[in-house]
Amino acid sequence: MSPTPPIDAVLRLEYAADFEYSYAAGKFASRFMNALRTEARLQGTRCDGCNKVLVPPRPVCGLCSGRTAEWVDVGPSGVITGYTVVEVPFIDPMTGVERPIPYGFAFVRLDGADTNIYHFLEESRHDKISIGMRITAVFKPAPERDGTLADIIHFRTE
Amino acid sequence: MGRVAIVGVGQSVHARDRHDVAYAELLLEAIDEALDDAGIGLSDVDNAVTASLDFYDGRTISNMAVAEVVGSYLKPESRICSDGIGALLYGWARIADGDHRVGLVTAHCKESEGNLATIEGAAFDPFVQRRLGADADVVAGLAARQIYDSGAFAPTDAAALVVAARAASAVNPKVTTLESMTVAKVLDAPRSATPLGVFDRAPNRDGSCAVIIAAEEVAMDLSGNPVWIAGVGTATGKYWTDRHPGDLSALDRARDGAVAMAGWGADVPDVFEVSAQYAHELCQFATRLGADLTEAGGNLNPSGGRHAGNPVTVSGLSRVTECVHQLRGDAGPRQHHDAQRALAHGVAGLGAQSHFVATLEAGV
Amino acid sequence: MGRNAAIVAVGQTDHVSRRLDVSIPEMVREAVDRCLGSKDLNSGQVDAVVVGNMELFEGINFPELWMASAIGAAGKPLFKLNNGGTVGASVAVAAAHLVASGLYDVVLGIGYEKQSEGETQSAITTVGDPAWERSVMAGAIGNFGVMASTYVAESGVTAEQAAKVAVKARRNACFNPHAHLQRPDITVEEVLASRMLAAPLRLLDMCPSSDGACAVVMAAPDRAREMTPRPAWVVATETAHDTQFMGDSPKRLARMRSLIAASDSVYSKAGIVHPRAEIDVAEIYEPASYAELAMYESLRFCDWGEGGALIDDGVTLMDGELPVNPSGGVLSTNPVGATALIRVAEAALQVMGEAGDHQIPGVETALATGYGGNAWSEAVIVKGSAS
Repeated sequence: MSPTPPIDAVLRLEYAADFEYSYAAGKFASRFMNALRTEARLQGTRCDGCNKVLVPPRPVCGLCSGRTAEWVDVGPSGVITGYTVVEVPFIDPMTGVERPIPYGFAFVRLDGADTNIYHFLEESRHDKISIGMRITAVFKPAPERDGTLADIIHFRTE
Repeated sequence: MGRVAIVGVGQSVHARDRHDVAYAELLLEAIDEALDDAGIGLSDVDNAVTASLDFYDGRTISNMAVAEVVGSYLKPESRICSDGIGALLYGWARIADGDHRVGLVTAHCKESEGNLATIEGAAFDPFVQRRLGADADVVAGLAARQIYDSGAFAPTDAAALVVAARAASAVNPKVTTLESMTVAKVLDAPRSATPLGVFDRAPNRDGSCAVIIAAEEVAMDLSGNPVWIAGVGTATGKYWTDRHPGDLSALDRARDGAVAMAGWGADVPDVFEVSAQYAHELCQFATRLGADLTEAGGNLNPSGGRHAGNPVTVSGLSRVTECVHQLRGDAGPRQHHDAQRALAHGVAGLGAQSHFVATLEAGV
Repeated sequence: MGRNAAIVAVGQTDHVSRRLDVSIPEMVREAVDRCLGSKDLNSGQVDAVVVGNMELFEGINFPELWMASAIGAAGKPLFKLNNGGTVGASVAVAAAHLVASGLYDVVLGIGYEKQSEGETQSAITTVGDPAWERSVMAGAIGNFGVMASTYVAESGVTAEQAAKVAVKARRNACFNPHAHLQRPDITVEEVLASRMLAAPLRLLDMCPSSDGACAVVMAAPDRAREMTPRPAWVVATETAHDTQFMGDSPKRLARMRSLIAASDSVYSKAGIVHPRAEIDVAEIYEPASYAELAMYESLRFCDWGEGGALIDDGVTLMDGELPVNPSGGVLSTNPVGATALIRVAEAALQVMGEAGDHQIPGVETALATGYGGNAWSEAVIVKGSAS
């Protein structure tokens, strides 16, 4: 047993709670994720107002407040618009497992899209990556896909 | 300060589980209806004030996800983490001081997505009470015991309000119609935290509400039938352990502020829309605000109130929305004859710590 | 705005990594007491209280209700905001509107975070959209690394130029008794030799994680003049958001469209045409060294691509033409919920002439900014005179 602290010691009280949630993904995310899971297909929605293709798809275009009813295929290839190589440990919030470092992490503009998504790169050497480089999605095999963006393992140089 | 009017209102359907929509999509349903009601588009709105809680959304800075549906690209949006009437008050100030002209005020909540015991438990003092594992029902049970023992109200009074709310759900198209109930059934139901039974607590719901407000000159252009925000008021009492449940001084201050701004004096509003999570609280708050709780009086919660099914945070704006319908005379089967003044109330926190009141007036 | 609001009093805790000696309410109370005490005010003179904090960081729902009595808010209007890193500025903006509307005469604004008490990094991961972003996150560092890369590519800014910002911040902090990281001997070489976190960002390019609180009193004109001889008048405020997802903004740091919108708006409202010449001091929300240089450009302190030259030329040093973050900034102190309010408070101190050892002489006009959420921005201009 540790020694009894003095009566005027300032304590720290530990508290842990399990914050469990079951999020409704919504209509737009569900359609995207189902197509990703079953067909390895990537889609965005085109804005009626400004014609931009938004990925992730969403009901309202933030830029012009237009509606985005039309679904269009994007990717699976694209271009790097920003990147880094992460060298600090980070616990994957979905798995609770620390991701091995270093790893490449980038803004990816999928072909046909006007916005970027964040994703991982197969390449983890900083000097082998550049803005403007073309890359393509590497999907998990169909049986392993569960309908999240992690169904794309990473992007590799085209 | 300039006058501010409500020129559009909208609500999603409030239901037990809205698994069909993400919370931003749920909110969009209300916003679309409110914009349509006001006859404007999202780009006509120059600022938004939202009400939501990270703990329910399960996401820190959870208003990030509503950026587009509230139209805040390169525009202001600010969030009040409390009842929606708090957001209405702030939205009112942003227009009353002349800085903005058309505001969108929203609230959303999905009580279905998280673990309510954990979420409500996180509102307890982490040093002492949280370890006891109490929840909001326990706090309410302790309070109800004191209220009933004081003789101010009886369990039958509270049960009668539950019965009335559930009956009203049948004529409110924005809530799920609830099984009708009798006082005896409410009193005979399984207990949650004595003296409270399971029907004393408002049902858990997913839902959203949106209100469009505008400066006077815009409102006169937009709407032949604006409803004026005559006054707003709010106050927060002490933390629940430091306050007797019969102490309604925060409610008094919220009401006094809103009534004084409206210049109503001792005049009684035609309609009261009052929020409470528990039925004994509804007895307390409605009586204190001056509503007539008898069936014959009939000026309390024509919408059914929270016991007809609105989630926390959203309830206050749902109350405002019903008042607007009453004052415009388009409340359908719920319409009170010739309502000219209405009082909407919202509440937040363990043991109803914060109160919000808006006083609303019909006509030009 | 209707009537002007003015900041009359400011108080802060001494920001550190861990305040083990106080609970959250005690820590916030300390900032409130210092604020009110600085002008011999008391809670009884406060009409309403506005609090900013990210409640999931500490895991306390409705924290403002728990501490209502401790901060003198019981029995009063009490508002809680949560807008990410911007929230401290949101508190100031809300307080200004509540006063300007005529609803309240005296509003106490508070921001705080006790980052050591919760798993802030875990909480921050929930900032990601659960459907879209959480499964492919790399923490705040990964996000900033990518953002900084866009700015480097666009502007050609160098690691040395960024390091100069990191050095400026920690040296300025030595003149601010409340600042967390005070490093009088820090050098550019030391920054460049610090551990690589996510290229181009090294350890000393990033802000720390702090425990701390900040409070300001904002008052209507008559009350403000009673309370202090030289109030800091809030002459313009603006909030501008970006869209929902982190990847939506095409050039992120290189063209911060929400900051451009917010700052252009306050410049216009305050009649400022040449920001570099007309602003005497700026307290900006720079979460990383590269971000400060990028913000110089979006705030129009210089032309596009000239952010690096501005620090090379010493323009933004304490004795430069436009000192930026004489307090030491976010790179020295970052209790998230308080951070943007500290910017506003420091700008007000400069205008009131009460910034002590980091006072810039003769400040008439000061700019404060907040940054957070998904590339959200807020901007506030305070001045020594009301018009």
